[in-house]
Order: sequence, then C-alpha cells, then structure tokens
Amino acid sequence: MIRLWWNETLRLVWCKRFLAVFPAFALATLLALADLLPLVRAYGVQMNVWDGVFGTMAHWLYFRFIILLVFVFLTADTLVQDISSNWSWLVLPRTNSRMRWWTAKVLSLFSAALVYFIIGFLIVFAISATQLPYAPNFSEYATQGSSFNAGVGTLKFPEGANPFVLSAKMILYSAFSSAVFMMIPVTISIIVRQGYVALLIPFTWIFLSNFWQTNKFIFSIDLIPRLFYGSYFSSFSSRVIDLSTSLVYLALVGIVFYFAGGYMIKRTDF
Amino acid sequence: MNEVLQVKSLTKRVKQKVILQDVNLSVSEGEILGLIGPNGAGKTTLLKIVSGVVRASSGSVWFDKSAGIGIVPEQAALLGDMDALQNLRMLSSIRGKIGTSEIKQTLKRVGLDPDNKKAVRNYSLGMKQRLMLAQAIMEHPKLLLLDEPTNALDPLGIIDLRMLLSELAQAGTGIIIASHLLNEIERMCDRVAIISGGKILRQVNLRSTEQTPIEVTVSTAYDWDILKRWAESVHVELQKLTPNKGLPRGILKTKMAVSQVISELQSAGIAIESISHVGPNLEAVFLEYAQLEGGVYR
Repeated sequence: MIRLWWNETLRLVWCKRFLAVFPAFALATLLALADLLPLVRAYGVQMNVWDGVFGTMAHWLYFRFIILLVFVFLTADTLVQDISSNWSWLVLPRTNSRMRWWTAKVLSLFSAALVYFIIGFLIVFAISATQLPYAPNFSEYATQGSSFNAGVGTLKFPEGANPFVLSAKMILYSAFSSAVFMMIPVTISIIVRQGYVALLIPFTWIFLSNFWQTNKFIFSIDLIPRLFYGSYFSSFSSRVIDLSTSLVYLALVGIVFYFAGGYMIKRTDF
Repeated sequence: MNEVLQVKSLTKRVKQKVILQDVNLSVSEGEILGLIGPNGAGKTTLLKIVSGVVRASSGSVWFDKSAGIGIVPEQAALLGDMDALQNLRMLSSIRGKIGTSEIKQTLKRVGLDPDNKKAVRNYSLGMKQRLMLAQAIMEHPKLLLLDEPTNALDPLGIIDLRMLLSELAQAGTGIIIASHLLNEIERMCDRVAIISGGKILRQVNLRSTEQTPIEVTVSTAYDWDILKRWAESVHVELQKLTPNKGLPRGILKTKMAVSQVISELQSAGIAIESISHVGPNLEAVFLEYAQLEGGVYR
C-alpha cells in the first residue's frame, strides 16, 4: 500500500508538468510584492519577509486564481490519464485490489499537494527575501492591521504569533484543503472519462465562487473560501467561517468522496 | 499439462450490447494461444476481463493470481518523463518481487540498454514496445497477455519477439496473443481461437500431430507404386493428387512425424522429391468463419 502510494505520488510530481509550481508561485509572489513594495518605498511602512510570504500564500486572490488553479491543472486528470494511457491496465493487475489503488490515488493527492506547497513556500520565501528584510517575527503591519489595504494589509495575524509555526500550519492546511477539493473532480472523472471535464469543474467553480462570495449564506457553505488559510485572518470571512468547522467540513467532504469513489471504482471498467 | 487459465461461460454486456457471449477458453502451461478476429470482435475486452480491469457480466475467469499475470497493451502505457529503468522500478515495486538487477537483466533480454537515461517519451515506437514487453515478463508471470504485440516492431523486433515468446513458452508460461497478423499468429502460436461478434467461433490446433496430412512428391511412377504398397502395409491412407510437373504426388493421412515418414520411405527405397506437413490454412479458416458471421471480410 505504501509503495503504491509512493508510486502514485511520484507519478504526480515526477513529471515535466509539475515544474509549473515554479512559475506559479513566482508569479504570485511578484504580484504580491508589487502590492507591498510601493507602501514600503512611498510611506515607509515597516515590513519583513513574512509579509511577502503570507501576502502571497494567504491572500485569497493569488491563492485562488494562481496557486489553486495550477494545482487543479496538475492533478485533475490523474485518473483519466491512467485510464486513457492504459497505465491502469499495468497497475491494477499488480495490486489485486481496486480499493487499495483508489486509496493510494487519494492519498497521493494529499502528498502531492504537500510537496506542491512546500516547494511553493520555499519559492515565495526566497523571492520575498530578496526584496524584504528577514525577521523572526511578524511585522507590525501584519499584526496591527493597517489602513493600507494591500497584501497582508487585508489580513490580521495574532500578536506574538510565530511565523514559522504559522507557515507550517498554512502549508499543512493548504495541502489538506486543496487535496480534498481535488478529490471532487477526480471522483467525478471515474464516471466522466474526459480530462477536460475534470479540469473544467474546479476551474468553473473557482471563478463562480468569486461572484457569489458577497452572499453570506453561499459563502458559508461554499468550499472555495475555506480552502485558503488566509480566510481565518480576514476581517470579513472570519466572521462567517472558522478554522475548526472548516476542518470538520473538509474532512467530511473528503470521507464522502473517498467512499463514493471507492464504490464507483469497484464497479467501473478500465 | 496443467492449465494456467480457464475462462468459463464468459459474457460481457454494456447496456444492451453484447460484447462477449459465452466464451470458453483455456490455456495450458507452455502453450501459445492466438486470438484472431476482426476489429471490434471482443479480443481486447476478453484480455481486459482476464486481467481484471474490465468486469464480466457473467461467467468466471481462473488463473493463479499468486503467479502473477503479464500484460502488453496495444498502446504503450508508460510514464514519458521517466527513463526505462524508472518505469519498470515503479511497476515492480507494487508487488516487490524483484530487484533492480532482475529489471536490468530483463531490459537486456528485450534488447534495451538498462543504463539508457533517455526519457521514455523520446523512445521510438519499437523501443516502447520492447519496454512494454519487459514490464510484462520481468516478474516471471505464469500467464502472459499480449494485445497486438508486433505493432510498431521492425522485422528484427518481430523475430526477437517470436524467439522470446518461444523461450517463455518452453519455460512453462501460458501466452495469449491477440493480433491481426495471421502470418505471425500462425508462426508463433500452438492454437488459435477465432473470435467474431463476441463469440469464439472455432479453435484451430496448429501443432496437432493427430492425422496431420503430409504431402509427398516422389520421383517416378515406380516410386509411387512402392509408396502405395508401403502405405497399405502401415495402414496409412494415401490420397492421390494431380501430379506436379509430371511428378507423382499424394497426401498421407498419418499421425507420424514428417521425419519418421522420411526415414521409413527412404528405408523402403522410395526417391522423395519433396515432403511437408499440410497444416490448417489459417487464413482460409479465418475468412470462412468471418464470412459466416457476415464480417468485413466477406
């Protein structure tokens, strides 16, 4: 089982396509810095490298439209590719259990997401460190809030929070939430054997979610706002959703789709 | 001989369409079975059901799962960004039965360089097909399924494949080959199942020694007379054919091997011009059955 999981993870991350992680996080960082640096230069706002890190990875705009979208592109058609390329015909007879294969597939989404966010974090940190000074703590801009509504300025972190611990939590949470989110199109692709459908479902959802986020009720039930860690430090979203309910919500979605996928995978023809 | 595969009353329906109907098939240790049939006859579906990636609507498939199964799909299913060794390591790690040295040996056996670091996406079609063969045989399965294995192979590759399959069969591996190439099937296989419209229409034994006709041409009418007397003495039916360029010719219906017949005729003092088995003509048999089914070969 562990070997199978390792294989499925390698299959996702050891390919040219996965190199998209570099431009994706680099672009998000550059856009975030383009927001932040003018404040440093023009108004002398004191910022450090963590403003760059959290201003990129915890910002809803960059997370949703760059980081998450690229992860969708990397993983959505994993099952469809296996089937259309006949790879599943080589793997399944060796496993002797479709459920084991499906479990490995699901777990590989989590491990690939973890690799994706760890690499992403390192890229964001490295680029931010070239423009902003290093500090062991959050800047005042990040903890006190600011009249400058840009980057971390839209979020407010608890005073005395350790940025290293918060970074680790952000990476783990983002990997978990993104993998759960991707379980939905991957499960649907068991029936709809088209790679573009598996891609279109999350793409459309991410874009539509942007329009209905002003409605408090839809915002509270929509999965997308719960996917990025910055939601719990935002003045608007933290009034509607919180971390603990999101963890339960995401776990439930994951369990439901794991069993639904398992049920379908046992009954499908490859 | 022990059977390595038994397929009993296998039926596959997709919605209302019957893909396979009441298929019964078996493969013995060391036997090479050819599956021939027109496009859409159900060959690939049958192989997929045997390997477990497609479920049967009814019927049963038995093979020793602990001995494993090797599969060569029609289209190479490989991870293009990895090299050959990495691809095989990934697949072999699932069962964990073999190590890197055995994988390298297998790569050499199919004519590939195990130290070649080139990504598989840059391989030629023939090299990809050899790699597919390597992944199928590396874990020494007792049952091997090949779907159009000669696709993309050059003539040398086809000869290598034929020799390799023959070696594997001699070592006891049961092999099923689905192919359109009747000549190759005829040369590689011991037995052939003709499949059309999801049904096995006929199974032809290509290596049968029972009553296999032997065509013999002798030098003179005198030799023919001796041949007739010899045939009567050993109770072998001799059927006279039209002479070939004036040389007397006939068919011997016997269980004897050609070598034995040659030896006996020479002992009887008969001058033989030519002698050979007259095996079943696969193409003729296939066309006959394909026409019966109203296939595209009519």
